[in-house]
Amino acid sequence: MWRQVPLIGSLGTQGSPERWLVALALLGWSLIAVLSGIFGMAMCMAAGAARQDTSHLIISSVPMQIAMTLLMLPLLAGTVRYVKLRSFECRRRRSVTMTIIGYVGVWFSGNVVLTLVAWGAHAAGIIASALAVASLVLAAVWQISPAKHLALLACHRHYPLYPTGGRADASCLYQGAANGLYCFSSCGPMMLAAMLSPYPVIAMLCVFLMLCVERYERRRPRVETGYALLAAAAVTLATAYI
Amino acid sequence: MVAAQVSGVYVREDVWGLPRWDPTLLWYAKAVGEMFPKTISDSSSWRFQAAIHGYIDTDPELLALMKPGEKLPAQTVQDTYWAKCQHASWYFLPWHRGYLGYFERIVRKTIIGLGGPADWALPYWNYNGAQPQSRLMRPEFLEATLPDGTPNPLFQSIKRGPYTLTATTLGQAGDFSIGPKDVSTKWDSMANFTDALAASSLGGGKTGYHHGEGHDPDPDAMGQLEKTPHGNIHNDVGEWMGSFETAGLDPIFWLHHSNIDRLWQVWLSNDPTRTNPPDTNWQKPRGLNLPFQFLDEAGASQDCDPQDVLNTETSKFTYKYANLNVTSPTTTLVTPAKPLALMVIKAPRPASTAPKMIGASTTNIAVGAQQTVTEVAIERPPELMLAVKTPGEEETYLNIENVTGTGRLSTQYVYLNLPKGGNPENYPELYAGSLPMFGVVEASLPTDEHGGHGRTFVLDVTELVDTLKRENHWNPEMVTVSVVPKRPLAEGASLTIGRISLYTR
Repeated sequence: MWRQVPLIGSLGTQGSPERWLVALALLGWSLIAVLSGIFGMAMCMAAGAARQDTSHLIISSVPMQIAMTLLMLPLLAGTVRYVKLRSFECRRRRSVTMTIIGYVGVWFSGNVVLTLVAWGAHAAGIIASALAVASLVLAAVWQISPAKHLALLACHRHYPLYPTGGRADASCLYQGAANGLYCFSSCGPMMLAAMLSPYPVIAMLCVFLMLCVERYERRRPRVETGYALLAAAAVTLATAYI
Repeated sequence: MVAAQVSGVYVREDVWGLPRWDPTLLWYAKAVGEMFPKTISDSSSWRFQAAIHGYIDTDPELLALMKPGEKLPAQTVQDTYWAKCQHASWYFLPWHRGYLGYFERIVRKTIIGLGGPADWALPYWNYNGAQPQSRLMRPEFLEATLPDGTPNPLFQSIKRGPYTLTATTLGQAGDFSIGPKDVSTKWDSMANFTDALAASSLGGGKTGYHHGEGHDPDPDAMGQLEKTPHGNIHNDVGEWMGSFETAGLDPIFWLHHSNIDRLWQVWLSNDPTRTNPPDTNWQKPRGLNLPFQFLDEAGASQDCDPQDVLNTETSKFTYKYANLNVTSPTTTLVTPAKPLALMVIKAPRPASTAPKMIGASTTNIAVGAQQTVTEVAIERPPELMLAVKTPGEEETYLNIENVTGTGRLSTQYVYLNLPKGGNPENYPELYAGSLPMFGVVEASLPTDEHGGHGRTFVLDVTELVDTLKRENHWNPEMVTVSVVPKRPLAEGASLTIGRISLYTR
């Protein structure tokens, strides 16, 4: 009986969802700090992991994927509030849980794909600095494209929720997954650039702050960000070859 | 007479209290004629002023008004000043007050430049006025020429919906089918400016900038004043007035919003216990895109916080309204008005009380040309749903969620438990509220800031549900909701409701 099996405790459905989502994000940052201490900053990211064998990749990379996914949870605060309000009181926890599963599932899968892309590029023998520059240029182009703008707008779209039963679970999963998919589409290229950066943790922090601004500014992707990414590409190029 | 300036305070007059072609209207018309042809990049142009409310560069109506070779203002100017209207937000009233204030100053400067009076002030369209014809549009907005025989800028080229002409002492006024439901004074029964449930407030839920997801649990719902009469009048006048991007192009828009601004003052003056939100986030909000920014009559950028415009007489706009009276709408244009005092005034309740869902429909609802009926199953013990609550004990709300549409949409009226096949006009006691479609099409676009999830409307049905219970017409397990279009759906238009749900708190 789902009514007797709350999947997330009262912490998750009472009061303001921002608090516990931010707490989970802080846990993610703590994990990154710990993992980077254990494996070395670059080593724990995809670029670093790519230089290791498969077992090392899993050990160092999977916890990092989890941590990186947790970072994104504060961006889901509005949707969590929406799902909670739009659900019967007796199934709010379940609805919120389903939504988070959908969102986290997409982000985790996306992060794994990004890691594999980075790993594959390294395995193919592409020079790290060239990879970093290419990913920065790609992120810059994506940043100023109309498609990025649409993804940014759709990443917090709210869908009608079915009220009861399995279809209610499915509609909550869909809500979270759809938000996650658009969110990942909007942010993925920049995340890849951060992962391939020579200073991935610092880059990740910069990207995260920028995503928060973009998400809550709710206008259009900042063109300035595109220029900043191009400047970063130029600096990376200069550092590598001068 | 021209609106007087008393002790340095401009006086906004009731347009229906003015004589035919009063200088206030005549000079307004001349100012529109002066501002409309100006290039859109000029901040004192009519189209620039309209674009502050809304602008989409692909809107065919706006593209049709562009002159060959005409350039838009720089992107940074557009980003800073255009498409900034605040709707479904507790900033709706203060933002529009600032918008109107700077517009009025620009028009006044234009009028002075044309040799007009220095004390000109924007009049208001009081559709709840004492005169029986107050719901009609003044003849001056519907005549082809000015008294001197030149084209009338208040009418020429302005696109409005269908209307009929009705003879008044001032000439042929426009009947846009604005009925009593469209000018309901329910907003004056709201105890609070803001509330955890926006529909139970005058000014909307606590949101972030624009239609943002702030801290309100129902982020899309708007306050009572924004919904009715504001949204209904936009819909009823129609065409340009029916969408964010073109509404400001119609000269009647500004008189309509002057009245909405006045009704905020009426609400405050009707009960000394009513106050504006003291929250810093409302009084002086800070963050991205904040404070509000406008361009004044000199083209200089001006910051504008809600706290700067609360006292109309001492603010930078220095104006007051000639009259703060409102009467409840009458069913016919000639029936004497019912005094507002007969309305039930809600008792204040803690703004933190959270609503709980007790029922919801299970499918998307395509609204048809006629009546659309939906059943909402109630998941709550029947004994709780049959008990008649004492006033203030429990409130019941109907949530019309994710309303999306295309084309020209008219206002929808909602009824509960209408008999099958019954004519809604014969059951006024089952009327639950209206859904003005203003902004729905924009909120349905993928380019909307919420990705096109549409609008949500919340109707307070507490009194209606209690009446149904008392009269044994209430089924504790099911409620039927009938959505009735005011006008048949236009060709090519579509309207969908994502879900209908029932809430209590």
